Amino acid sequence: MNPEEIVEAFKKEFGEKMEIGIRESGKGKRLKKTIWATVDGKDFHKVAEYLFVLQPHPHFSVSSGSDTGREIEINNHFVLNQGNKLGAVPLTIKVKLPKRKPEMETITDLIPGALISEQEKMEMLGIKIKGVPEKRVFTDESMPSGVFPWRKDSKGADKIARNLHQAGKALRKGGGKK
Amino acid sequence: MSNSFEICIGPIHPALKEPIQLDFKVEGERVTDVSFRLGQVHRAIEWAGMRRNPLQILYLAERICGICNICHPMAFSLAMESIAGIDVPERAHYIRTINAELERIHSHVLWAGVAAHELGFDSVMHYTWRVREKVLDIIEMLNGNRITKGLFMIGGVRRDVEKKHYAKIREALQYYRDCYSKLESILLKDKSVKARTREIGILTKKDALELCAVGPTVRASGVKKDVRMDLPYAAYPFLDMDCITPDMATGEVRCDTYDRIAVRVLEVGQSIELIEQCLKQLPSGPVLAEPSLQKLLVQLKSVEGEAVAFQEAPRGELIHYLKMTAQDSPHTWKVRAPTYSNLLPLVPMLTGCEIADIPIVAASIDPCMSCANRAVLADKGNTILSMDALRKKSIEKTRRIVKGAGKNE
Repeated sequence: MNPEEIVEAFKKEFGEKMEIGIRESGKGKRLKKTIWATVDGKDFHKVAEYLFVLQPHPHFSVSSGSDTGREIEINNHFVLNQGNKLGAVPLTIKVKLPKRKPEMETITDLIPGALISEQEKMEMLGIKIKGVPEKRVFTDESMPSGVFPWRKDSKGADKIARNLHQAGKALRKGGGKK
Repeated sequence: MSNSFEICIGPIHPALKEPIQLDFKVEGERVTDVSFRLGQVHRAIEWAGMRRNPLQILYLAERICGICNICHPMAFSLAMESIAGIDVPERAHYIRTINAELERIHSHVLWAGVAAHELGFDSVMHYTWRVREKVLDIIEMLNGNRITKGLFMIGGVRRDVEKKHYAKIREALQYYRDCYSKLESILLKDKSVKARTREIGILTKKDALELCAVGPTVRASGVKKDVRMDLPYAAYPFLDMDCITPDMATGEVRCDTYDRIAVRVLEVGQSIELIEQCLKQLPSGPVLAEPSLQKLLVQLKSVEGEAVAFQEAPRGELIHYLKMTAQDSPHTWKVRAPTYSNLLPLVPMLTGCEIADIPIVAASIDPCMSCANRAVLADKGNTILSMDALRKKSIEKTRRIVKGAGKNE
């Protein structure tokens, strides 16, 4: 399926629940058509499930995340049609989570390889992903609990970065151990 | 009495060349479960980047990895160029590709030495690392430095490949063609290498797909994934190349450690040919879209948008996600290096192995890790199993196999 057909298939399946479009960059043989979609957190699992209707093994690359103020944006980067020369289609599915309750469902039941990325988002952004155990994989235990390095608000790591001399004290007090 | 033990390897360990903690459950010599933990050297590079301007980030990106210091700034540049709508001059695309393939040769040959060392063949390690010197010489000739190259600029490259360099590059390519058959013979035909790597550390095609493995690790399981083919960038759309899988060397895919060696050996040969093609096709013209850094910086600081850049690093798919909001620094910069995606696949690879196989299987994904010396076996008596002891186990297994093969003959 080409990017236009994929977009049409999504529109047909999810209608107004999904904002979807194609952004182009490059020219000629370097022309890259990337699909960008935005869905509600509660619909993301269904969208990920639908990827398997489009192809047997959609490739999940990683999730990136942004603190945009009131929301936390999770960008789930996939690639479809891999193995076709010049034919792969990057697809980013954006999920916006309200900061008052930043929760979403895991997709590890569909794509077990997403586990490491979901753990990273929990540790770095302080979101909750239902079905993924809370444990430290990316941050050292010297990082105090309740501090999430990718947050840009009071839960971010700026205060620690400005007061690195106190980091040892936090560790002695128990640091991130729960 | 239970025969079950827990072994913790890392976070600092020479077989894992960058800090990572691998926790093993073993019964006798057999590994029954594996889990891992990262973060011991979290350097906050992305955090630092989000407080710097895009041109400064290029130099930070270059320092993410000691080997992949072409592909990180390349991925960042591709993302930034996509947001800013900058057209890179054609010649710069080819120079980027030449340097990326030199980096791949460097990385794969370096890795071959590490793999040989893990098996106890230090003479092979010394041979491969001597061979690697040639590519480092060429990198130094082109960039003035062996490791951090400072080559990239948004919209092109900072240094041209001059005509006087062509002969030296071709001479180096010929050198690698000449020693390729020896490398192939040592790594793919030697009986004891085969005995230590065949049917060891299997990553089935299904697991490779489900666990989202990348690079030579996924290709060795017979999956044709290569960003240079799938989403080509730089000069790759204009080069004649194929996605390397182990059957091209052996006629079959067995998804084991040997197959991962085979893919990398073949990719060294492929990189030689790609550089040769680039030299033949190298167009004339400028190498920078905007030579004035002040003008460029003003432009970059005014752009808004987001982009994801994909790049095939020596270890596999590398991703940089970038979001610009018309500020001095990016709002978000996320780097996903290939080893990140190849860690979960380590679990099925290592489960079922013997302890002596841990070093070579862990090394077979070419994890991007640094050297030091620590391994602890925690049992009731708090016995310490040092790195030397672990490596000795690996070497002893090789010797047992070699002796056994001798008797059979």
